[in-house]
Amino acid sequence: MLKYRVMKKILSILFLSCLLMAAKAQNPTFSPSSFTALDQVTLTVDVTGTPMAGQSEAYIWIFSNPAGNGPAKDGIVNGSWTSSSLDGKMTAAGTNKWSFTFTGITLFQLTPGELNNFGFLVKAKDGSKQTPDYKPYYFDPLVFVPKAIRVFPAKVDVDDIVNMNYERTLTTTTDEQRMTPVSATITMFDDANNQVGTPLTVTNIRKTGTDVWTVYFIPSTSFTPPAGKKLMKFRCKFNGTLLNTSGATVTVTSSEVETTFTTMK
Amino acid sequence: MKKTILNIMLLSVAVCLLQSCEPKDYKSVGDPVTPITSLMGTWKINKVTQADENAKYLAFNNPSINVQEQDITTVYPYADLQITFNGNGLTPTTFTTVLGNSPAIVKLTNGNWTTDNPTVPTIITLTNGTITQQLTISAYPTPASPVLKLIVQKKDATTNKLLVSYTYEFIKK
Repeated sequence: MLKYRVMKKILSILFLSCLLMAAKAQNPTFSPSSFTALDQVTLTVDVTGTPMAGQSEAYIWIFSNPAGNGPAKDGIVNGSWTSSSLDGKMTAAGTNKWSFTFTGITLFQLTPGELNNFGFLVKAKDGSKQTPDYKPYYFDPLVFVPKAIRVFPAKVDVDDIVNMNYERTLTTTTDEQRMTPVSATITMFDDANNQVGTPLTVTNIRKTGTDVWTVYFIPSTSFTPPAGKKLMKFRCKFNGTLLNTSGATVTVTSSEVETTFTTMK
Repeated sequence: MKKTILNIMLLSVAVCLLQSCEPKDYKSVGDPVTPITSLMGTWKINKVTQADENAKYLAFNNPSINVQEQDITTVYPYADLQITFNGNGLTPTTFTTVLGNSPAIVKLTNGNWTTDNPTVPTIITLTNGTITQQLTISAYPTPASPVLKLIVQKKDATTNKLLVSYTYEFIKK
């Protein structure tokens, strides 16, 4: 009987943990899911479990570039910490859910080139209660930003031909710069942030440019999500070899990048 | 007198020029093309191009590799794929697709096809029951260029912004 109770408790904890993970995976949400600094976007955040839970009104405190790559500025709707501006009042979007609509360049009074990412928190007007920071969330670039590991096309859905490119000259470590890629490892996640199946090793790699290697895969063909779930994102890293100072072949692996699917029609 | 001589000279030059003209043997332009009927028949893929429409719109450029579009013809066995558009005179009727090992470029394997314009179509709509899919015609096959180009466009489900496109170049089987 005792074993049964312990088992029941463990299962309950596991179930709650899964729920929490699922909630965390999708909070906050953005509509549209991808946007540039010129696009209007609506963020919706669930403040359940934070000091702001159960409040009848909420104000946003929003700031630019918490992850660097541009000027750090407060949004023009913030007001002061002890007296938020009415322009920063959030709209109720359900129990403990609040939404706010903005356009990056207007909100931060920065140029698109200066806006890379942003963060925010939800607070009481007088600053007596607040959520933790939600950050960083990235604007889509308006100019081409070279990356060592880059997905093509930049936005992909689960049934697209996904090209993962490894551009060796843009890598930052000596090993990566000397590595000749021979495969890539793809790890898939569903919308509850759980890994889907086992990682896929793609060995059909092509040299597609000067110091550029590419692997291809179709997510929905290679991965099947559990019932009731859908593929949400994947991580990709490249594997390769290099010759060490003794002339011996050494296996090395690149850093890993994450790509979230865009729902398309 | 001078004027008369000048007129005679001009007349002589004109006669010489006219005499030097002779009919050219231009090739026939062929029968008039009827786009709707030129679509009918069985087609196989010759080339597949994948495009990042946002990168094209913003003219992104990377010297190392094309970041706007990529030729992916040989990435997967697209050569296996065939699509047949059947018709009755100028009226589209049924279609079938044979995939082989090729990725599916359309969701349907058979059904009916219609067009947005009975004589000069720009959109082909494939239908089977409640499922439909649209293909944009980029180029009609002509005697000079017997290639049918169809485009599948993929848009953001929320904003309707065009994000990705696939251009399929077909030749008659």
